[in-house]
Amino acid sequence: MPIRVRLNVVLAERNVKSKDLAEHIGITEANLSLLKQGKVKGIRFDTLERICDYLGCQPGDLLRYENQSE
Amino acid sequence: MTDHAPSHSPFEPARQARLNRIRFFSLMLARGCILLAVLLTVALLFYWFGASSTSIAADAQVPAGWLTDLGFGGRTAAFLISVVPLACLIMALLAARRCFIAFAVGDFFSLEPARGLRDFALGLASALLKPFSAAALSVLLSLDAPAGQHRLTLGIGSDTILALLAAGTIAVIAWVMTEAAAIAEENRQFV
Repeated sequence: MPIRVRLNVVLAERNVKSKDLAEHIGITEANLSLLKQGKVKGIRFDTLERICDYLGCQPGDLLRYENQSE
Repeated sequence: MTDHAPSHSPFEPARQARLNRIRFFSLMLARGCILLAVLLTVALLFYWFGASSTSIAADAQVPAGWLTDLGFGGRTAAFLISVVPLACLIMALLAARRCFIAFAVGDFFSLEPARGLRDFALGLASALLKPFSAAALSVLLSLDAPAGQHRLTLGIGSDTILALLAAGTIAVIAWVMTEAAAIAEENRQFV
């Protein structure tokens, strides 16, 4: 999929543990892991809002469009 | 679908109350299905093995004299003929029970209740057997009739038509629920 989730990168940059973020968002670590791997169909706005709130970032920092034809 | 909503967005109280109501009534209906299945079987047994020949003759609209020799064998045969549509109805009730049990545990949109509803519809559609069962009974109960007065009664009542209409409606709802289950499955892949 050309949309890549950069949550792993942002977590590493801010030195935040997945467990703490999952707890703040209110989802399981398993679901957060799936999100980090981009193995989900979508992300709810309220989940995105909480991630951005906790990590102090913008949605654009978490997602990147990679054109596969390039 | 079990409660898959993220914990940070708990169901609002009104919705929670609705879900609780669905679960409660589904549990009651599941128990009702079992109770009805048992009662219908016992009632049928009681009717064919407990009711007097006169009552049976009156119900079947045949002269009482035709059934004076209705012994254990005849009653058993009548029971076996009558039990065929009842067995289908009981299968339908058990399928409905499976569906209600799934609802009672909060499993609203998955294949299990959809299959239960589909099987319930199939069981209701077996109402088509009722006219044939009634025809076979009419032959059996007029076996001792004088020559030329034997009967073969065929008929489709409004209850059969209504049962078929209900079966069709429920079958369509079951198909829609299968689609809903697919949508719910997709929704579960959203975080």
